[in-house]
Amino acid sequence: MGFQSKIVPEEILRVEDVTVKFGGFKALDCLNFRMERGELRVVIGPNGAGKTTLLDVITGKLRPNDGRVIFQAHDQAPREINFLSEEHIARLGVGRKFQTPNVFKSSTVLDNLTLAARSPRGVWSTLAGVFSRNGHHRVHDILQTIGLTAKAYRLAGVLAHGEKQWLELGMLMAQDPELLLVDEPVAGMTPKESERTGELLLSMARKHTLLVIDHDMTFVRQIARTVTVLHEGKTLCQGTVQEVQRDPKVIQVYLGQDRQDHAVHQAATSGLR
Amino acid sequence: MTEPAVAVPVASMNSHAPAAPSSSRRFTILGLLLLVLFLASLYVPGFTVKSRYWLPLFSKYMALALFALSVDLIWGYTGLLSLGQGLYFGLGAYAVGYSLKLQQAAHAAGKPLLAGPDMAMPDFMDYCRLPGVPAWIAPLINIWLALGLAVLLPLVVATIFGLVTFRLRIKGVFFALITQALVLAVYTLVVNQQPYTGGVVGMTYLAKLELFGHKFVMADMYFLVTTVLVICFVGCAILVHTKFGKILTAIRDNENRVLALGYNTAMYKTFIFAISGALAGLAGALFVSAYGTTGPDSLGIAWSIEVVVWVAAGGRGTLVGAILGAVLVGLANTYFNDKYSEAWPVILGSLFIGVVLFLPEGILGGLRSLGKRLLRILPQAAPALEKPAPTPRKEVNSTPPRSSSTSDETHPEPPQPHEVKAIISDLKGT
Repeated sequence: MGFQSKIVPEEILRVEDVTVKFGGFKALDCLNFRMERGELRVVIGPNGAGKTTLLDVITGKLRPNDGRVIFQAHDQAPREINFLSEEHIARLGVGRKFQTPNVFKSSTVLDNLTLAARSPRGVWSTLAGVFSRNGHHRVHDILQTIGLTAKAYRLAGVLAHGEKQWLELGMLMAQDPELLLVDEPVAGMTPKESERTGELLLSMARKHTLLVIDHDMTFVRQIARTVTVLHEGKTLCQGTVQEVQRDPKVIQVYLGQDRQDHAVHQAATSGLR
Repeated sequence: MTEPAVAVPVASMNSHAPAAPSSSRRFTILGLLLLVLFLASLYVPGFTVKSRYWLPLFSKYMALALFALSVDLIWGYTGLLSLGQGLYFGLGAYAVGYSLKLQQAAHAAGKPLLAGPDMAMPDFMDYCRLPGVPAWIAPLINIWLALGLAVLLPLVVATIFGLVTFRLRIKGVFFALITQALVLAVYTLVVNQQPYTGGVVGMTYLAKLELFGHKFVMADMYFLVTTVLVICFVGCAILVHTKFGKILTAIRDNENRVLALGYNTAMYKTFIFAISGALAGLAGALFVSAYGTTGPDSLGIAWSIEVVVWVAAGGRGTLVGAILGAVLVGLANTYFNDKYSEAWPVILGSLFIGVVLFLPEGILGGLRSLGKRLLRILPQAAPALEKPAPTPRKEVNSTPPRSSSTSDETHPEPPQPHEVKAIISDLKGT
């Protein structure tokens, strides 16, 4: 199935010369960024590099001051999406997991997934969905995949932190978008939970295109094939984890310039474990 | 189109659907029973209360309960605090008010209930020396037209208002203030247009509501209002249990997430705002029919805020709570107005502060948590025994994917911290 896409890499997302300014500060500065269908890309970068802003621009939460964002859904012509509304872009097939767990806390786990599940998004069709809300077979599969079957009827608000993160990933699976944007999926997780999250993301990457933002280098090493490093709103470099970690520019950015050796060493161990 | 790409452990393959815990199903049936009982109890005053003073008051409370229901839909369920719901209530009230006033004038003059050039003039128009009943008011003498307008007009106004504000992403305090400003503007307009609206006094001495040739007074009136309330209640209950209703609460909890899922939240909010407006209009229509007068008070700021207090007191986000709040605060209002009418605003204000501080989920929420606490204290052992021991729970696999090579023989491994927590809370019987 991946045969064709290997030979003719098909572009799914292209960010062209995008600039986002907050007052005088340029969060994104003429950024160029592209992804191919079926890719799993990890974006890293120091604080304020523009990682979350990039996601905001792709999802339509922020309008870029300059530049274009082009998204090509499966079997469709490429389309400029930077002027579309958030919900419209989402319906085209872009899903997002926010940085903090963003579940609907007073709905049950099952309802959270059902709301996310691929189905018509209009008012009238949801009004008709009176008695069919438990009918999603896929939702039950997802419940098992994320290990929350036993808690299907719990309110999402009472779940543990890691479970909320998984529930959100489950919601992404249910939404089944072509392009998944995942912001810090393992923040606040134990190493073991984080490893399982990695497995989950890798399994999703088989059928979707994933853009993952994270700091945790152990986690990045686990899942990453290609890593893009952002710095001050621009792409600093791109390559495999090893290439990126060896890149002198990256080391400099993460470590700063005029530090004493001691500080450099500390930063090296904390930033690029 | 795609099934999750992860192989599901074999052990859990045969149990596909997560069965609702039997205890929760029992609670649902119990809840349904209680609900029916509650709705039936609403009819009781119609049989037992004979007082000419109290029965119309109870009819009034039922109309106000419907009003509270409309506020609960948008505030309790969707998280949109409207401080101008009185506008829609007032539109309904005035539509029916005109009708009953024209009818009363026609009765007094011995003329038929028909719109026409020589129809009888209501007293307030006469005082202001209007040449005749204005053409836009005259047709309202037909009660069915008036009732229809009492629902449709608020529906249309709320739709337009909702479309404008929600598409501009106006929310929170700003939304509340705009609704308030709008109702204040209409209030000023109505008060200033005395020849057409009756000004500050409004319309008094209205005719009795007459439908199908039957006059609704006393118990009949009470049953009519209560039946409309019950029908609307059931409608709302169904609505909030549809997927649409789930999306409303999701919007309340986290609108950005709903947007990111691809739902056009502005349309959802407009829709529920319109329904809420229509219900408020219907409430206004019933209120006027039961109460016999209508005035600009229903368009006043205080009125719109008061209804929010009822809902807060009863329990926002629960339909029963809205009714409970409206009736209980209404009763308190009547009682205190009798004795210390000056103190009522102070009492209402303190009630609001008290509820926010001590009963954030209202009376109903308080009762509920009290009940839960009792359940936990009394038969501590009973629910724990009924539940299956924690071991079979493991096969439901509370761990995310392993490769499918994991056989169905689950090796005993130490439970994860979150699993332990889950088991503990299971034992607690929550």
